[in-house]
Amino acid sequence: MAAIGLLGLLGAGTAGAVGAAGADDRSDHGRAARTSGRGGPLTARETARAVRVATAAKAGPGGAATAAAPGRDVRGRPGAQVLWSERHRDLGKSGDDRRRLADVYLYDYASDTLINRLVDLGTGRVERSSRQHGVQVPPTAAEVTRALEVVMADPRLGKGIRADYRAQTSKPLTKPSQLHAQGMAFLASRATGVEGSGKVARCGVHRCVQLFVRIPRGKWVDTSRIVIDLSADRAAVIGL
Amino acid sequence: MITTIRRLRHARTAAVVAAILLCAVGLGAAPASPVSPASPVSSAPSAAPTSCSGTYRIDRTMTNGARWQMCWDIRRLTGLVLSDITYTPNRGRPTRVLSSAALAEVHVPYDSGRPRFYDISSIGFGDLELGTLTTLGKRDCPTGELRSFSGHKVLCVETQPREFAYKSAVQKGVLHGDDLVVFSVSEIGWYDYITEWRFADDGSITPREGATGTLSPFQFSDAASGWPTGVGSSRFSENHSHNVFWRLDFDVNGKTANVVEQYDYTGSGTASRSTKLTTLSKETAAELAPMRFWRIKNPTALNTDGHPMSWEIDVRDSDEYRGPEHTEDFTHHDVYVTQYRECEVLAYGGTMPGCATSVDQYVNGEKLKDPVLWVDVGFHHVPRDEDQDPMPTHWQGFRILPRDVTATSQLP
Repeated sequence: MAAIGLLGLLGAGTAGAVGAAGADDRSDHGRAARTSGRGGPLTARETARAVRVATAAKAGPGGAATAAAPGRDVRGRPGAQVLWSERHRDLGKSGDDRRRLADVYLYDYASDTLINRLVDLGTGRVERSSRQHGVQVPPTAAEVTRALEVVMADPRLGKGIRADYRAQTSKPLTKPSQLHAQGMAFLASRATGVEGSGKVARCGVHRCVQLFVRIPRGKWVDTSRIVIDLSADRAAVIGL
Repeated sequence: MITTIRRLRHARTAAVVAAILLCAVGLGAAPASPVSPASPVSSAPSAAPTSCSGTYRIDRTMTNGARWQMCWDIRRLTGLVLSDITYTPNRGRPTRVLSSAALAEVHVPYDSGRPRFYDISSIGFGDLELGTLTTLGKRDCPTGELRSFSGHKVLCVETQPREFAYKSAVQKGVLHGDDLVVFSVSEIGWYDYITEWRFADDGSITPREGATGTLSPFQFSDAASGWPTGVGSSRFSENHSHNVFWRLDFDVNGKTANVVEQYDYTGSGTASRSTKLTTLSKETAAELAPMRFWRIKNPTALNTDGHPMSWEIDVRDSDEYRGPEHTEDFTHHDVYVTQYRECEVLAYGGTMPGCATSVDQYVNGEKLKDPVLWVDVGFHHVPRDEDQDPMPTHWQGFRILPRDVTATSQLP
């Protein structure tokens, strides 16, 4: 098993070989959402409507009477980052599927706030809204892509990951879509007692992620000690 | 106050469902009346009502005549969720078992103390875009049927053989049975998790989680916390645990008002054993023990022997991981029984406002009117040479068994 360079560059880490199975698992992603039968997921049209309502409207009765803050997304553009939306169902209520409700999760990078809105797709109203600080849910594809960009833009880490990629593929790494990546929410408490934990002390209040990265049909890239602070657009290497 | 309102709405909904169920099976009697298990197959009751249809509904009649019906859905965090799970015994009538059932956390701490992964609450099992929910193909589901979610085939529904449903020299009979198997797969980092539910023709349910894929390619330690893999003894793959939590919201025979009992059989170094029954009237955190099981019963639904219908929780195979105080209190018990709350979905890492964040905190003295069970099964993985790519699947799970749902064996 040949070590590949990113963490080698940092003085530690070993890479393992991985089979290519599953590399094309997402080949049909992006196809229009379909629903076939009652009780199914939100359709593409419902998802769009839920997000439109959640990002535009004031909270309805029962929710905090907060106008939707302008907010910023993970790239600093106006409007909160849409994390995900899914059909809301009270899991204890057997058989009650008369209303189509959507849970929409947003993250405002301007104020580091997790926003959860319950949208009634029938009436187009926000039924319930909450805003929380210091609470983090898993990152979405847009945030994982941004995290990879932050790593690639980091002078030291970027050089390492490009070297890894070239060593395996003989091609240059120019954009995140050349890599298969997943992410996980990272909190400062996960680094308790770890060397360099001070560098990630804001994680939790800030939205931070760690990545799982592999080269399609190739090996894993060791990113296990890299924490990306998406609220600060900064990557740190700690002693995890 | 909000809780009270929800309770009332919930109770009303359940009552409506129960009424529909009774109508559907042509029963005019009150719920407390014995439920006949002996109706012939030819007059089998119509399907129990469900909140889904089409591709999101699973309805399978087994070879012996038993039938399982349920709905399925995918959630961003917990992945596969089964709901409205209804069992119809062979020659029997439909009976609702669970309102919903899903994973609630997969906690993966490494033996050196780090890293510590929270695969449900920090990564999530149900994201198609990131591929944490895997698109399946015919090779994943060779004899079954693939179901799509948002245009992706992510669920396999198949029937698999089960040896020796019974064999009896006295009855001069033998029956090989079958299981309805429902599963999805989640790629989480270097692991592929198989989230599987087996529903047998004798009414038993086996939730289990398989982990395969790749050992962490980066997590190496020493002889104290690892095992040498590969050539020589210089590279120690690190030992770690997979602590899998399931959330089970029972509605025994369609009613939310269930009672939870713990049974122990006491006696050690003596010839006799005696039954010790503990009724859990308040929220409880409990531990596994030899000769211990729990059951969730509906005291108003009796089988024709006059015994209340119930479902037994049988956990016999767990490494019983216990993490550090304060940060991992949710691992300090094996079974939790909590009063139903809509926002209590995750065993750890809950983010719903106005709600506690982990299952140990959900246990705070509430009276149990609509109990929810949480089961934690741990597997401590000490890697072997054989666990190098591709890592053989290791499984962990437990069993849910009907206890007095029917008055007799309904197998043949």
